[in-house]
Parts: sequence; structure tokens; C-alpha cells
Amino acid sequence: MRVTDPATRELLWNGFQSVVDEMALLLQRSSFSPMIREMLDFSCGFLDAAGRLVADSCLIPAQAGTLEFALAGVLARTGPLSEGDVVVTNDPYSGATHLPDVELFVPVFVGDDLIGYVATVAHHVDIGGISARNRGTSPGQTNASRDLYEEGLQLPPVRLHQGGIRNDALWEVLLRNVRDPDSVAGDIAAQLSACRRGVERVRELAGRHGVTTIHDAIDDLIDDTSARAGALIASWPQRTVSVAGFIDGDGLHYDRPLRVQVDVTVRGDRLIVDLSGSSPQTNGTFNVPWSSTYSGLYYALRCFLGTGIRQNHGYMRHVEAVAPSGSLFNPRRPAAVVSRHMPVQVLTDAVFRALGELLPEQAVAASHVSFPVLLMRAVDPRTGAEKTLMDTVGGGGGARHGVLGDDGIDSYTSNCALVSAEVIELEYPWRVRASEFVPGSGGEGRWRGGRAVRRDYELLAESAAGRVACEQRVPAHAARGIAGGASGAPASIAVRRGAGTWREVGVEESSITVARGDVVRMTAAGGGGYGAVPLIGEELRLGAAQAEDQTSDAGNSTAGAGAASRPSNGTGWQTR
Amino acid sequence: MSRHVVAVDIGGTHTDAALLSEDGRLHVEKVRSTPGDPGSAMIAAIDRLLVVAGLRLDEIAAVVHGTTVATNAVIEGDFARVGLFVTEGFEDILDIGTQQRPDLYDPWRAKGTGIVPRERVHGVRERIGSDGAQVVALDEAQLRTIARDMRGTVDAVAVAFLFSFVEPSHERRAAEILREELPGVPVTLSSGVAPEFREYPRAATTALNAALLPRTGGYISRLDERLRAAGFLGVFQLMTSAGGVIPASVARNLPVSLLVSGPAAGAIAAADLGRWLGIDDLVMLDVGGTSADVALVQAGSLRRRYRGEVAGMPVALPQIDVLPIGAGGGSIARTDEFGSLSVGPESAGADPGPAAYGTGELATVTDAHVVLGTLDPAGLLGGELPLDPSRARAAIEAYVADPLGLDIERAAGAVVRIANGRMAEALRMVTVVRGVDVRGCALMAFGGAGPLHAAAIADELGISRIVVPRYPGLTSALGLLVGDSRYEIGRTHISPLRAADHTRIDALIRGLSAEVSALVGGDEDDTPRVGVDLDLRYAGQAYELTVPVSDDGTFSAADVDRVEARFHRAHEDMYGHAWEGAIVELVTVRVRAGLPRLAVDWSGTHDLPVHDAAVRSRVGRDASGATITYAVVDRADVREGLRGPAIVSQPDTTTVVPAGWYVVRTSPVGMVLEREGS
Repeated sequence: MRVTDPATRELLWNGFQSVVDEMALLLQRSSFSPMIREMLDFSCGFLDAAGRLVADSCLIPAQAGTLEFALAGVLARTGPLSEGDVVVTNDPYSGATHLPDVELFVPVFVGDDLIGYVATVAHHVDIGGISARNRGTSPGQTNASRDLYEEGLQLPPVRLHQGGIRNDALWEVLLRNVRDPDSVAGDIAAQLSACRRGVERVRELAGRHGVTTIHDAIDDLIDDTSARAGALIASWPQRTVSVAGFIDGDGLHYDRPLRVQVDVTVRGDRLIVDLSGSSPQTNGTFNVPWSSTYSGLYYALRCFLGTGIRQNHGYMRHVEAVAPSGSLFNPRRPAAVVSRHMPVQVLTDAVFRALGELLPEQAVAASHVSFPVLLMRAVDPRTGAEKTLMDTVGGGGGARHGVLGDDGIDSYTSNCALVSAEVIELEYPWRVRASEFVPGSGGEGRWRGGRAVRRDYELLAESAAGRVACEQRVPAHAARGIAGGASGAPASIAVRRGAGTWREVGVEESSITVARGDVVRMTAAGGGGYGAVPLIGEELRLGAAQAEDQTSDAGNSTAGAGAASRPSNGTGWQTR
Repeated sequence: MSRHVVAVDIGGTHTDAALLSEDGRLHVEKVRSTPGDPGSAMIAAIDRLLVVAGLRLDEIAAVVHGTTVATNAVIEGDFARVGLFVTEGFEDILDIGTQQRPDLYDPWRAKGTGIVPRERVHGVRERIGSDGAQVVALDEAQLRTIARDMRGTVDAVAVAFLFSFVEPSHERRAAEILREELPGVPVTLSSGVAPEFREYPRAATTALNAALLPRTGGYISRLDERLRAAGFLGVFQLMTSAGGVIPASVARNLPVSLLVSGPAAGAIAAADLGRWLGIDDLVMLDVGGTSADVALVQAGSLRRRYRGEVAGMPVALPQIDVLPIGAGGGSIARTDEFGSLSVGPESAGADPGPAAYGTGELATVTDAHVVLGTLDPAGLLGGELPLDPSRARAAIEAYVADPLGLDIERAAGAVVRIANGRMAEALRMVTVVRGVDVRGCALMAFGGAGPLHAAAIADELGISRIVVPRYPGLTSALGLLVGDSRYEIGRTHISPLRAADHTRIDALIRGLSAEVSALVGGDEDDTPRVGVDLDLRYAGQAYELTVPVSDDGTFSAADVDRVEARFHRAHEDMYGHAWEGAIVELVTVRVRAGLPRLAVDWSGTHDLPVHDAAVRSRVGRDASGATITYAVVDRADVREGLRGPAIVSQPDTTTVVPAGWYVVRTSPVGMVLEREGS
């Protein structure tokens, strides 16, 4: 520890950051998948020779948190890498996330010295499997994947390039197994360019500072972060808090929600999260690969460590997850995992609540985790080509003491951007009729929860078929308020046929077909409120009852009581 | 008409002015700003220039102004009351934004809201389709009613309808109605300001323009009147963020186009200075009190970018590609309980300023320089700004040295190294993203602190040549003097490049040509030259590259092969690969009009000093704490062959020439340093 001087350490920290930022910029700008280029669903990282994360592009924590696991999976399979090697993988059971997220790792050498690895992970437009763009947030329909084989092409960690030469056989197999080979080829080329740039930049840093200094500075930066994180965690109340959250259903059945049970223990300078009380692994697509389980925990912990913590391995070593093999958060191959994002978000939310209980000063109300997804195919009458539109809208953020919840955001481990309505109408046979906040959707409270966004999509083609899905349609699973604040409004999906009336799409019915002129309405969930609403006059009794309800519920592990008392009309209490 | 030009750059503390006469004589003046009435300082500075040059105001052809009025309004959030009209269903457009959180790991950091409060955003029943066809007719009665109810409650209005970049008729009709119902209230249309696709950045740009218009427009008009009252007969012009000069009559309705004109002017000057010195590839480093600006000049020209951002808000207008970073002389050095040292982006600014200024307490980069002996302890600006070295030492000791267990000089060295590192990273960023090797560029350093850091940064980057302009504190004013009259508008028109409908594109180019030419001004002797650029991408991508097509305002089917090849090359340069067989898509047609300034050679008109210079010396320390004895030379006395370690001092900047560097050339344009043996 402390082998580099403070200036060199800071210089190299800035240097590593700009390496990954530059990789990210390059990847985004030259990519084809709308998930990468418009929603920014990708991440770049730099890891050291020991496989520890040194810096990441801070775009999608759900991806960045898996890089160490994926690299370990790579090295376990390929053995040490050489100059000119490029390894590709998307294997959730070797540390990757889900199959559409393709990860590339490239070693950085200076002479014979291995400095580390640069990595990119990006959500591709298609990776084969039983359904185009197997986004996975698509429960209910008969053609949902039941195992990993149905989810697409599996790439165990394999060398795409060896000693600078591409493995053309692998390349052809890869492109033959996807529906949009041009896009996949383009995006892998973009990832490769980003990695090459990263390699050059790390080499440049090593050339300037010397290899030994680079290694020392990395050790120092990680140890420093660890010391900070450890000191903070050790100062927290040393006890266990238990919280539960829920997924509306397992994707096949909606009579019984999936349970996300977290028993969070602070022990010394470590955070132990026991998930043993969560549901067993399911036949649906909601299973969470081990690395993704950790990515949710890393994210939640980092948020409670404050802004003085560097985004590197240093704080990650203070987290330990416990989950039996064969359970929701530690499934066995070949369980389907494509929808892992939903339970990761619910897990993150539950850990937020547990930590908020331990550290009331830092507690925030729950943000939505609804992630409504519209994924529909239609033939564009302008070109005759079949186009698959995928879009998602944001919901409400949780309110904070003194700060309203954010309106219209993606939440926790994800930060997808909203796709422009003009881009949608230019590229797809759909017209966005409205893109707006839902009044009253933020949970009431002294500080109101964030409002949800809803989007209305009118079909301009003959017909369209596909899937619509979201979480938090069950009111009991809505984003919870704290300190007396109410839950946000649940999410919903509705369809209007022609000039008819709106019809709600039920949770178990997510494959739909619509015709020209029909409108699909996707509505995210609102955020939870903070604190009881200040009381006046006639509302006193109702409000007091509500506040009591909320307070008694605060440490409780069952969801739903807060949602039940949510006032139906939200407009009266907004603090803004 | 004469060709004498005056430039005036009004800053917070000083107003800089420069006069370039048609025979190539350059005069400069610096006066204290008069913030309550900026025109007073402007007239005072011009008067002094006229006396020195022996000219009268009515002999001046143009006064070019650079202003931060709009920028400051954005930073301070000082906006007019705007009424915003959008397509029904999109009333929350500004508050939804991109939907992204500013800091993922800080759950307390609020996302922020748009600059127009929601109650002043109104949805109007209307809709244009993506092909330009009317889907829903404009509900004129509804619009009229809302406008009427708005009387007296707004200072400006903005209209941003969907697909107005394809078909602006609804927006234009809305403007007519708004002018009838809200007489005297300025109207900004999205199809006029930024007719490009993606509704959020376009609407945000339009709303921001409206929010800045009353105050900035008024400011520009008052200065114009002030000049007229003093007898000025020429044209009053302003510089835009894209580095072009436009008439005041246009600028006052387009304040959003002025937001980063200061950095743009600096970059224009850097390119021009490089040209006179015969240096075509250079990186600019302009270091001020709170921040630094860096830019790349490649083959004599500057890059533009089209998706800019000011204070976190998207601005869908072209800007000179200048990268600002939070590192300057006032950047604060801090340590924390874990022994980490950081520098900036927080700044002590000018008030309270660095500890050495006498009021501030915190340790800054300037204080570190005072400790290291690179800044003259007697003071800056020719003694106008005295320094207190003991305060600087005390601050570095308390906030850096003691917490880190270092001696004061080493602590100061660490602060300067970190500041240098941040600037070096920025310079690497602007070159590497363009596929340019920074080692092949000269480093042009200016601003009060640029030349202090330049050599250390050059060493870090492997750059072997540094240019310090003769007037390092007046580069913005110089940029205003030499900037061409220029404006450009891009209009989205999406189609495969090879299937482009040239009849429609010709019509589009003709329309835009007329529009930009009118914006640039000019007269019967001087008709603007019109050029065409295209934004292209591979079908399926979302980011475009801008490829020049012609400088004669045309784009025909015969140009397609050449343009496509150029795009492949640009993609290869930028991203390391090209897809020769893929479909190239045309996204935006850009038309630029330019009227070049008369190129006056002002580079050889100053005499070099002939007297023998008095040589002083000062003892300082390097970053490792070792003692250095600098020769201290006044700028006017610098000769070719001056070897480091030396410090060149002049009122507006200090240049450090370390051991191993020497002055290879001095000229009225600037001083060139090179590393020995390079």
C-alpha cells in the first residue's frame, strides 16, 4: 500500500477513467444495435492482471459488475492469453450476463509484461434463439424460452482472434446463428475497435509511467477504495436486516409471485447478503446468473458508500452473497436467464431498503423497477421490410428527504435512454401519439415519489404481433414509500382497438396482435414517496391512519401494505 | 468603404479590444469592465484604439463582439418567462429529457427539470407525419385561445412541433397566430433554429433560445445603439459558437447560437496564429482561472460538432469542437482522510481567489506555482494583482503538505503535476478521437496560465514544439478580428445516399442557401460563398459523420461516388474500420454560407527590441523539490536561442522554459519553443 506518490496515483486514476470513457464513446458511435446506440445498453472496463476491475465506463452497472466474473470464466477456460488474442463470450454460467450481451476481452501487454485486460459488453440486436431480440422481459407467452438452449447461441469463452488472426470458422458459425448478421458483425467490429483503442491507451500510460508504477498504482487505488469502504461498513450497525421483494410471476404462472428475500448482515467491514430465503430457480426466464446477482449487490452497496468511493474492485471485495445452488439467484445450467434484469432490480431495491433501515439518514424511497417493454414485429408498408420495434419507458424514482423523486427514469443498475419518438416513426411503422408523465403516479408523501412515463404507440402497418411486458403490475409490488410516504402507482399495459375503449392487458396475457390504427399504451410504475404528508383539517384522520400504516410497515418484510393505503388521487399533495 | 476592423471582447473583469487596420497594423487595449453598463468600457476601449491608430469611428468597417451574456445567463439560470408550444401528447418533453440520471451511484442527485416550468408548456392539436404529410390539422382556435390567456405572463414564446424539420408549415402558421395574439413577444421556431431530427434536443434548443432572447437581444441592441450614437457607420457583428461572425440584427434573435463563442474565438485565433507561423497541426491549450479549453487544429482547420451541450442542456447547433475541463489557476487542491489528493474541478475563481490573492484560504494551482517560484511573487498583471507568497505557502502546507506528510515544495509539485495531467488527458482526448498523433502537433498555449503549464504538458505528451502567442491574454479578441462571416443550417433528410432524390435535395439546398446567405449578410460587392456538407452513416447506425461535398453550393448525382468514398475513409479514421459494401445513409444536409474577411497580414509589422536586456534570476523548485535557478526575462527582451531554465514574464502571462527547452523563434505573432535535440 502507498507505493506510488499521491500525484501519480491521481494521474493514473484520471488516465484509466479516460481510457474507458474513450472506449465507450467509440463503441456507441459506430454501433448498429438500437440497444447500444440509442439506449446506451453497453459498458467498457479495464481490469488488472489479477482480473480485478480498475475502472469502468459507469454506464450500465448491471453489466459492469459482471466483468470480473466473466474474465475469471474466460481465463479458467482458455488459460493465459497472449498478445493478439481476443476472447468472446456470452455464457451466463461462465460469468457473463444473458446471451444478447456479448463480451469481448483483450489482454494488454507491454513486452512480456501483462498489464491487464480491456473489456466491452454490449447488448446485441439478436443472438438467435426462439424469438428475435430475445430481450427476455417477456413472460407469459407459450413461446418464451424454457432453457438456455432456446435463448440463442451460446458462446463459451473462446478465442475469436488468436495471435492477431481471426478464427473465421467461429466467425461464420456466429453469424450463421443470428437473424441480423450485418448488425451483429458491425457491433462486434465496434467492440473490437473500442478494445483496440483501450489497449493502445493503456500501453501509452504504461510507456509514460513505467510498468511497475502502473501495477503499484492499481494496487494502491484498489487498496485505497477498499480501506474507505471497509472503514465505512465497519462503522455501520452490526446486525441483520431482512427484507422481501417480489416479481409479479415466474413468467408462466401468475398465481404465485417469485420471492426475493434478502437477509443483509453487516459483520465487521463486510456486507453479507443471504438470499437463501428467495424462490428456487424457475422454469421461466427470470433466473439470475451468479455474476448478475453480485452486480446488483455491488451497485446497492456503492450507492450507500457515498461519492468518495472509486468505482473499482476495492469496494467489491467487501460483499459476499449466499445462495444455494439451484435457487433463483444461483441457478444451475441450463436454466433460462434472459429476464434476469427484473429480479436483479428487485434484489437491488430490497438491499436498498435493508441498508436504508440500517442507515436511516441515507434511506430513500423505492424507485420503480417496472421496465415496460414493447417488442413487436410488423411489415413496414414504406419498404416492405419486417421491422421489430423494441422500446421501453421510464418510471418514477424514489423520493428522498428534502428531494422529490425523479420523474421518468430508468432505475438502479440500469440507465437506458428514451428513444426519440421521431426516430421511431422514421424507422418503424409506429407513431408515438403521446409520451408523457402520468399525473398522480408518484407516491404521496412529504416529498412525492417520481412520476411514471406512459407512451402511446399507434400502429401504421397492417398488423403487428409480439410481446408486451412489465413488472409491478400487481399493486402490492409497487415501489414503496418510506417514513410514512405512500407507494407509487403500479405499472400497466393497455390496448385500444380502433376507436374503441382502452382494455387492460393482463399479466398472464403478454403476446398480443394489433391492427392498423390500434394503440398500445405502456405505462411504467411511479416512485415511492418520503415522509407523511403534512396534515390539515379533514384529511387528518385518513392521513394519520395512512402514516401509521406506513410506519408499522417500515421494517416489515411483506410487501403490499403500503400500496393498499395509497390515495387514489395524487394531485392534491404534490410538493411541487 | 474602409476595411478597418475592431474587435471587443467583454469579460467579467476586463474588456479587451483590438483594431486591425487595412494596412495590417494591429493595436490592442485592455480596460476594466463596467458590468453595470458594459457599453461604457467598450466605447472607452475603442476610443483609445482610435487615438493610437489615428482613425475615427466612422472610418471603421466593422465592430465584432464576443459576449458571455447568454452563457452567464445559462450558468446562473437567469431565464426569461417562456411559453412553449409542443405537439399534443408531448407536453412533458423537457422534463422527461433523455430519461437518464446524471450520477448513477448517487441516489440523492436529482435528475433536474427543463428550463420552462410545466405550467407554461402547452400541447397543441396538430401532427405532421414523418413524411411531411399532415396527420392532424393545426387547431388554430385552440392555439389562439391559449395565446390570449398567456398575455402578460410570458416574455418570449417557442414552438417545437414534431417533424417540423420535414414540414415547417404548422410551426410557421403558429408563429403568425402568436404574433397576432401576443404582439411584441418574440417567437422562436424549432424549424428555424435547429431543423434536425430528434424532438428533445430540438425542443430544448428552441426553448433555450426563447429563454435567452429578451435579455441577450436587448443587450445586443443597446450596444448597437451605443455605437451608432458615437458615430459608427459600419456593421456590428457577433461571433457564434461555430466560430462564424453574423450581423447583430440576426444574432439578437439567435442567442442560443452564441453560447460558446468565447472558446470558439480562441480556437479561431489559434488556427490563424498557426497559419502565420506556418504550423498547420496544433493543439490549443487556453488556461484561465477556473477552467481550461482545449481544441485540435488539423491541417489548419478546426472541427465542428453538432451535438453540443451547455450546462447539461443539449444544444442542437454546430459548435467549434472545443473541450472544456475544470482545471485552471484557481482550481482547488484537496486531500481527504485517506491521503488522496485531487485538483479541481471546484475553483476558487477570482473571488475569493487563490490564497496568494489575499482573501482566499484554500490551496489552488496558482498557490502551488507561487511556492515553486514559477509565478513572480511580486504580483501578476504587471503588479496590478499583488501576490502574498506566505499565504500561498500556508495554504499548500495546511491543505496538501501536512495531510500527505510531504514538504511544501513537493506538495506544490504534486498539485501542479495533477493539474498538468488533467490537461494532458484532455489534449490526448481531442487528438486521439480524431485518430491524430498528438506528438506530431505543436502545443499552442495561452490564457493567463497556459504557458506556465505548457512545457511540462508537452513533456508528458511527447510534444516537442510550443507556441506562445504575443498577446496570450487577448486571443479571443484576435479570433473575433480574423473570424469569417459564416453561418450554417443543417436540415434532416433521411434517405439512402445512392437513392437520394436530387430534385428534392436541390430544392432543399436552394432554400437553405437563401436562408443562410441572408443570415450572414453581405452586399452587392460581396455575395456569400455557399458550401454543402452531408451527415452520413451506415444504415442502422445512429451517429453520423460530416463529410464535405462542395464549396459551390451544389450536390449532384455525380458527387455520390466521391462522397461515399470519403465517408468510408472518415469512418476508418475515426473508428478503425469501414464497411465498404454497406448502405450509406444520408441523414442531414448542411449548408454553410461564408464571406471571408479580407486577409490582412499583420504578422510582420512590429519591430523587434534592439536594446540589451537586463537579466534577472529567481530560484524555484521543480516537482521533485530540487532547486532551479531561472533566468527571468521580459517578453519584449526575449531573443532566439534563450535556453531554459528560464521564465519569460509579461503582464498577461508567465511562460516557463524548463531546462532542455529553448526559444527557437520570436515573431510578432508569437514565440516558438522547442525541445533541445528535437
